[in-house]
Amino acid sequence: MRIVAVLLVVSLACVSRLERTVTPRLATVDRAVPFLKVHMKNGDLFVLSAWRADEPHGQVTGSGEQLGADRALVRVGEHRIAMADVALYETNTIVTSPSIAAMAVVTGASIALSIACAANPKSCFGSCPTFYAPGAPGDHGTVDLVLQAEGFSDAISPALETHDIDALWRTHVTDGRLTLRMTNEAYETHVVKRADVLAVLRPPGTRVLSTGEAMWLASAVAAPSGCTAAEGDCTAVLAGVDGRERTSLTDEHDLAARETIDLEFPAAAAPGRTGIVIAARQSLVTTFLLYQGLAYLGTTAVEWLAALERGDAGARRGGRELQRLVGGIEVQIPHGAGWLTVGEAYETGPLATDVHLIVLPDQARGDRVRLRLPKGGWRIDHVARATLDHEVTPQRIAPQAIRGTLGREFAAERVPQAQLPIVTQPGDTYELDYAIPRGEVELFLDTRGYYLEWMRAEWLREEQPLAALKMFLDPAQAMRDLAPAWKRMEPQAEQMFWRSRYARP
Amino acid sequence: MHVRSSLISLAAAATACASNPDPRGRSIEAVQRDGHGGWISITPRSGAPIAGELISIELQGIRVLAVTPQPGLVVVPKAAIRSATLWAWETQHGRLLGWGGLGTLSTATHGFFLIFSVPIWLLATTLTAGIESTASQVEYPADDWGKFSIWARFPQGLPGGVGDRDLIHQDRSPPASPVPGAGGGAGVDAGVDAGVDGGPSGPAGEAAGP
Repeated sequence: MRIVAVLLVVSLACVSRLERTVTPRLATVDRAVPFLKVHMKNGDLFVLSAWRADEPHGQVTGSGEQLGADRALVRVGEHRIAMADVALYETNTIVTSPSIAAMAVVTGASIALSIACAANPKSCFGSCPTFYAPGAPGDHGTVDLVLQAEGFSDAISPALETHDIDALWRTHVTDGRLTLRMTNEAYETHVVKRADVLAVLRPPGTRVLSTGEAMWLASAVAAPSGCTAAEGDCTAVLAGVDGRERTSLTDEHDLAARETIDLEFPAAAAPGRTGIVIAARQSLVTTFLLYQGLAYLGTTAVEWLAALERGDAGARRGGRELQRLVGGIEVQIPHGAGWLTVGEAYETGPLATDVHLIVLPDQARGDRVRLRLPKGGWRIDHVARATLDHEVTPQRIAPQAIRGTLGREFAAERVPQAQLPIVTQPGDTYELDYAIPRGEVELFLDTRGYYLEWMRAEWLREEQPLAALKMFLDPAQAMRDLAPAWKRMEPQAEQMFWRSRYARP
Repeated sequence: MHVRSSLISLAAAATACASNPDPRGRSIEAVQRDGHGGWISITPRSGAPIAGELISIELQGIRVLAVTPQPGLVVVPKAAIRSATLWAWETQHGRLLGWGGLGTLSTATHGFFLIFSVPIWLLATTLTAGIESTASQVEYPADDWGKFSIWARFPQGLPGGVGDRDLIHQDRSPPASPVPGAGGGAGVDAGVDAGVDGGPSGPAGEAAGP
């Protein structure tokens, strides 16, 4: 069957054109063409397949057909033609159409995508409910929607339903109106029970930062004056939330291996509590592990998810231990001769950059800070030190209007929902309108819900219950065992995922 | 995206392609070897459109062995022509549509990314097939008559002595006498060749074809 398909494509790929040249001089004829047409002054035509010019005798000789003025066949055989009786020589060359080049490029890219998806279906996915919000105005005053939040990325079953607060750091709205776009861009079913905006009015020049549990009004937010990592100086790349990210590759032997980044900040001018601001998102390692786990579970994935639903401690513990090993970004401060971890930034999801606040201990000034994180596990856009003035209480704002557009593929027997909770299928898009306070306001998105991964046929081929069991019972060993597999796909996974640009950081 | 809607898009692309009205359906291979002219459709400034085989381009006008509106040889003065299109051969844009159709179907293996790859396939197929469908066209007034003439049955102009009837069925005059020194090899009947110059042949100064 595949051979037939290949032959069919090859035959279709032969798209040709004809280039015709007509000349009264035989000397200018391309002698490589398969046929020479000789137009006679009397209207006859010779079509010669093998020919030669006999210049001294003024003749063209060759074999082929002689056609009359009516183009009926007169004779087939050898011909000797006097050049003096020739009106024109005609050649025709069949050439490959340039259209082939364009189609070949598309075909090459398409085949590469097919092969990549077949070899590595875990890289062909979306992730969690994605929320797009207005970004900063562009040079011409235009405002694009920017992916700014992934909702409850850890909640892959009803039992794991959770809430998630994401900063809408790049959104600057002062006219009291905000519309968010919520999309389902993966083979997943999302159950969104809450999608509130948290708004905090703030004085000019300040920002509001969230620890996930509390919100702080921050002033004097300063980028690092120095940054050193394994690759060298990283000061410039961490200077602002601008999409330029510092990242690294995973360890080839252990996905849980750590690296450090040393930061220096200018001396704080104002007294008060200090916090470290980290804008980052995960790499694809976590997603790889989740999907690899589901692939190992294969047809037994349902039983594992059911165990989660029943509150099975073992099922839940394995997942949490894996998450711990993947790890967040630890914030450390100098302590004696070493470093002391005083907090950690963690947010599951490789798509949207989230802004985290880690409040340092009372007396810590944060002039020198070390970040400890899994190698290749995070993409860090920005790190800053902030002076924290006081805690603030946000105003919770539910959407006042909801408009949905269902993905066409799975729209049958469904209608868009106009209120929460919303259940979405792949391709669904919802717009949520909010009335927010006018003026300088910091915005966050507070979502609650869970989602269900759709099993993919390709994953079932990898069903290895024992490997899945090992993953849950000995996650540390699993991180070592899976390191080579991830290293093999790491470059391609990144390329496929981000070059698709269906989601922008 | 549904397969059905993709196929509908491809069908729309197919209808957007230029259609060759030549009833002879001459392939590239046929055009390479036969001696007929391309198919020309002429829209005169007044009167009915004329379509048929292009016989020759001459000073006084375009000579067409017309099928419509009336069968027969007509000479249309250049000044009386509003526009004209010549189809030199039957293009192979259908293969591109088939190629694009298979490519579009193959996106079923792309998972989520098919929402990007399907439109890319449809766009590429539509553009390339549309362009390819016009590859064999020569158009007046965009192109000059010289570009038409190479696709005529007689690119040199209608030879003297060739009458209208000769274009459809030519009465051949009796074979001439054999040419002295023509070689007389097996199958050679040089005397039948029109306009044979009976000079001796030889290798000196020859340039060989393939």
